[in-house]
Amino acid sequence: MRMLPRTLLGMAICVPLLAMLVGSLAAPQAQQAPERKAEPFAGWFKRIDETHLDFTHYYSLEECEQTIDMFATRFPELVSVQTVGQSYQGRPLRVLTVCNSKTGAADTKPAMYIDSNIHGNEIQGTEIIFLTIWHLLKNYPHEPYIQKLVDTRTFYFWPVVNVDSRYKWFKEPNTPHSLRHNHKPFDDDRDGKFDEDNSNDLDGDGRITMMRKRDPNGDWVLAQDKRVMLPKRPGQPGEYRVWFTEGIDDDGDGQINEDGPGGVDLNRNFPAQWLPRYRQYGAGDYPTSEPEIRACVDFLLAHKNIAGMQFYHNAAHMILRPPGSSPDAGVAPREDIAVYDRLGKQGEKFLPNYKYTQTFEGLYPAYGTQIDFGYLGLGRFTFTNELWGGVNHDLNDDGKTDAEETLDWHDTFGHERSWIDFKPFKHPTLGEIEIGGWDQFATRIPPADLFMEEGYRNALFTLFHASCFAELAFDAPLAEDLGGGLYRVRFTLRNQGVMPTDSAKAVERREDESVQVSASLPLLSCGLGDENYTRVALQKGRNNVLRAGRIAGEGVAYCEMLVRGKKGDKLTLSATHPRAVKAESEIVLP
Amino acid sequence: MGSPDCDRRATSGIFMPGWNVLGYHRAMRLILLLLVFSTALWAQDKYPASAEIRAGFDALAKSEPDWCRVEELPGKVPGLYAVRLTRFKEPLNRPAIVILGSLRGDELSPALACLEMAEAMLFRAKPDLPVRFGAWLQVVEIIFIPTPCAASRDMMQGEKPTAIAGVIAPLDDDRDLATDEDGPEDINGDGVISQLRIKRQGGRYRVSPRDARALIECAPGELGEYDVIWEGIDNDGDGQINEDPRGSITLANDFAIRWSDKQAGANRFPMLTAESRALADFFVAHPNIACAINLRSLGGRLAVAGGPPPGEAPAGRGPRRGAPQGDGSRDKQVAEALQKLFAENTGFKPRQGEEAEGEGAGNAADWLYEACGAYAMNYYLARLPEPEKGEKPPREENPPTKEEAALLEWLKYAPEDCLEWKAFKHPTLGEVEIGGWKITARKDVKPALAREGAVKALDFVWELCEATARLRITKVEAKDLGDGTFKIRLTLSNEGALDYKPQLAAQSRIGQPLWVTLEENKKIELVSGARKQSAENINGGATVTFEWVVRAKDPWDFMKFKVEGERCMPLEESKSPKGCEEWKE
Repeated sequence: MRMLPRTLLGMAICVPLLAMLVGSLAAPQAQQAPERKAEPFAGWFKRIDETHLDFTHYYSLEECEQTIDMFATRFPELVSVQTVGQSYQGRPLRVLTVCNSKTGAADTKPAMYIDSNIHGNEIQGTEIIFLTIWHLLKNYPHEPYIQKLVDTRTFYFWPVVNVDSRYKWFKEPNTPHSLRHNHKPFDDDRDGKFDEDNSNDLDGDGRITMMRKRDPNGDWVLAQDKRVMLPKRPGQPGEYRVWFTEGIDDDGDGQINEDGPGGVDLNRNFPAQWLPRYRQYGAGDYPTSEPEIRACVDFLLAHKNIAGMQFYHNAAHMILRPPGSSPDAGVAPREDIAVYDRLGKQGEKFLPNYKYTQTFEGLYPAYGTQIDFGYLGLGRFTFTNELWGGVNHDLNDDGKTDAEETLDWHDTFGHERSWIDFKPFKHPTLGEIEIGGWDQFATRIPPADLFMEEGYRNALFTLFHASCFAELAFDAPLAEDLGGGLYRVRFTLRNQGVMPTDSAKAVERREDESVQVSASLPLLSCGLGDENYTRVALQKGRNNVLRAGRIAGEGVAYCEMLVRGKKGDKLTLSATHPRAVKAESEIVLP
Repeated sequence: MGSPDCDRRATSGIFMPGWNVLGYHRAMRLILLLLVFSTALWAQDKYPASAEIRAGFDALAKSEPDWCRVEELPGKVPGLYAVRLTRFKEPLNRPAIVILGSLRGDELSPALACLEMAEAMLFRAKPDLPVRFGAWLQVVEIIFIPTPCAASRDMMQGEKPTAIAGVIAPLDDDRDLATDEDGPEDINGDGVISQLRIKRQGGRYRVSPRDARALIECAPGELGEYDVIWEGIDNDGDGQINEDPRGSITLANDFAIRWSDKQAGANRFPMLTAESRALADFFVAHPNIACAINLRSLGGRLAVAGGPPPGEAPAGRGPRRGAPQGDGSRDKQVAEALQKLFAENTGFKPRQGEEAEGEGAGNAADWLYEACGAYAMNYYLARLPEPEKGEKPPREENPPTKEEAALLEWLKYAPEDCLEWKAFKHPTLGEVEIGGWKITARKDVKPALAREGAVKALDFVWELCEATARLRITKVEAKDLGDGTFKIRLTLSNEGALDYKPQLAAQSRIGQPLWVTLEENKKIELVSGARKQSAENINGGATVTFEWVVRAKDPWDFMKFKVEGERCMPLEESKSPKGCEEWKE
């Protein structure tokens, strides 16, 4: 009863917001629908209208699988699915590709790679991936921005990397923090037994919460709101001892819940700046020792067209860039940081309460991570978004939201499920205790019905990232007749994208590729010049294509070719780079 | 299981003189070695191919099934198998010494050394011989992995011999989107790939005044007369010769400790090759590996893995990431003792001015030491024969440079490795000469020298077996506290010279600790103390104690103690409180 007025207030705030956001997904008639143009594919609008995605709850692994299948079977013109490996427990690892194959095969276009849920308990990025796919499909027919993205780029989506942990996180009672790792058994307490002392749902309420016991020697005291506990101040008498997870001493070693399931922290198992377990907790036996990460590394190595990467984690309201293993100095070239800053600062506009920062200094040092593998290893531009990160509910204007205010926020919005009041329980070894606290859907993820806006904003940031890819264009090629069937062709090759064709890091790591320009007429020699072509450096070695090197974001290359032809011949020039939108130009020889 | 029944001395620490084997042993071993190595192979001047090495091991396993088994490594990579030597009739956990063979494809001798050592060990295992290696094989397991780079190893002696350092992997060295399309080749049809020199005033090389076949790189300021490349043509028409040879990834430097993409033969990332993964999976699955020896060919030295250099990146964030690393001083002492042992066994001494090359980034020994917690080392089997006494070279006005001296020394050792220069009309370079060093030259010693190295290595392994941690329950004491209550103390000793695990492994908590358990017994109540207790390490020659307080209705009832660990044989002891030794403070 106490909760009811606040619940109603919460609903009053939430419902219009949701109607506005959810309307764009499941019920197009609920808001002013954009004008529909011609159907891109037969029956497209009907298929869109009949697809109902519900983002007012989080998806279990089974629901994720169904959604992946739904996208691939219902929208085969733009979506395909492939299995790239198997998890430790043998579940398929599935990647969705969104690409208009009519405008070119997926691997011929620059690609955005987005994955989520590499940490088993950091779940909501998966929903953002589904939201992003849905946004692309639904708006493809009538939004030129989306149409261009889908036609000229490829999107690889890996909704759930840590499939085993997501499965269990939903299937069994957990905490917000449990099942981060994969399911390879691990002997946390070094007693020769593996995963033998996990948390237990003692009171049978289907949740793992906390345990507290009255104890004057304890380190915790009650706050004004008696549900909230605070660490005691120096000199203050204690009131409670606290165990942060509910459970018993399953293995009789005197400790409670000290050896839960798993495993390896998959995001410490990448082959970049990897350190052994005693220097980086959760690292695994060696880089890529885990099947999930081996599959991920193989996928990334096999797709040279991946230009940008986005990884979803929680929870800190952050847009993180690499490196995670060191400060920038000597590791991240200044030129690349400038590109990151341009994307990241724009990201702060998409995500107003997020802070764009560098991982090592802004979050914490981490080794063998995906963000470092992507950037320090492959030289691709990578971001990790730390989704959610607590509520902003500063009632006393002290500049922060404390535990009591957080609880009040949950009361206000009527999310009673998140908080379980402490109830007495007779523990087999601890005696009279109380069990209660936050359930697994609190603290690290927003209540599902408030997820949409944040999810949508993140989705739009990743699309913005993809829109910044290198995009090649020819500026007015000119052909000059030199006599004897010899023509000199000069042109400016422009990168219209914000991002360079290759990062400076990629060049340093020799993971870069040259922009190549091919000509439809026999090419005799080629070279790169300055703006006025006063100095042209001829290309050594083979001259079957012009190798224009790396072109900076919004930069140009001045190119010269000598071709053999005759007056009136059509010369087609094609500029390609695996991580740039390609360009073509045609001129007629004078 | 007690200690082996060969002679054993009291070894209370690795620095005790007792660590050396008695002269009796040495004499016996010599007799045995003469027996073992006087085989038909002895006379051959060619290394057995990897398949022959495998056949040799298979034959050993067939003839000695109780002592020798051959197992494929995980991943089923051709040539990757392990040969386990131990007493299989008693399937007990034993500390293991792993011996890696040709981890570099261009080194032939380590694989041969593995086979010869295994033959010798099994020969010694025969119970009717005076010295029995088999005694050691009852308490230690020896694991050979002879040919991790079998395919490239075989290319050293193939039809057109060539030297490939690592596992074969197509690579686009010149980044022209074609892989391995322009490598050295035999263009003059003499059956070998050798050097090709182009006469050019101001070239980088000059002819050695001491042997016209050898070309010496000019010092700064010196003007040479030749440029030198390996024999070959511009196969892909890009104006360059041999710029994209057959690709390979140096397996020996593919491991993830201080790996660097700048290391010669490095892959794009560490441990992505099937071979390194199979090896790593095998090592991880065998936590009983206490020592690892990576056999190398030419060098005549022992390089013991010593841990991270000071000031390396700090540890990552993690709630249970383990204790900080120690200063490694004890491991350093062990390394010094091993070096001393190596020097004594081999007689190899560093020559004046000789600098040992580093093992390179990402080397296997570092990974075995720092990730698997084993004592690990690179053992160089051979070095060129020293000049005979009285053969002192005459004092010269312009003595040869270090590089030239090394070339000349090799020329003396293996003159057949260097060919006379012969004129050749090259399709793009015009008039050139082909000759000089064969591409396979100076990679490895001749088989005879390798066999000598194997004999010495066998001695070294013998001593390592003896030094390996051997645990024994030496004492169970009881103090009568009255009313059937006793305080019990168990003393566990390490009778080996080496610590149970290296200091780095103990302080970084690599692997499991040792556990000592007082087993449950309804008649004897445990009043105080944990039933299962642990010790992270026991130093060589040292002891640790474990204590319990028990109450027994009948003080003559037996208590059962159990000792378990990854790197020791299980131990059990039964004592009644009254039957224990008297507790001495």
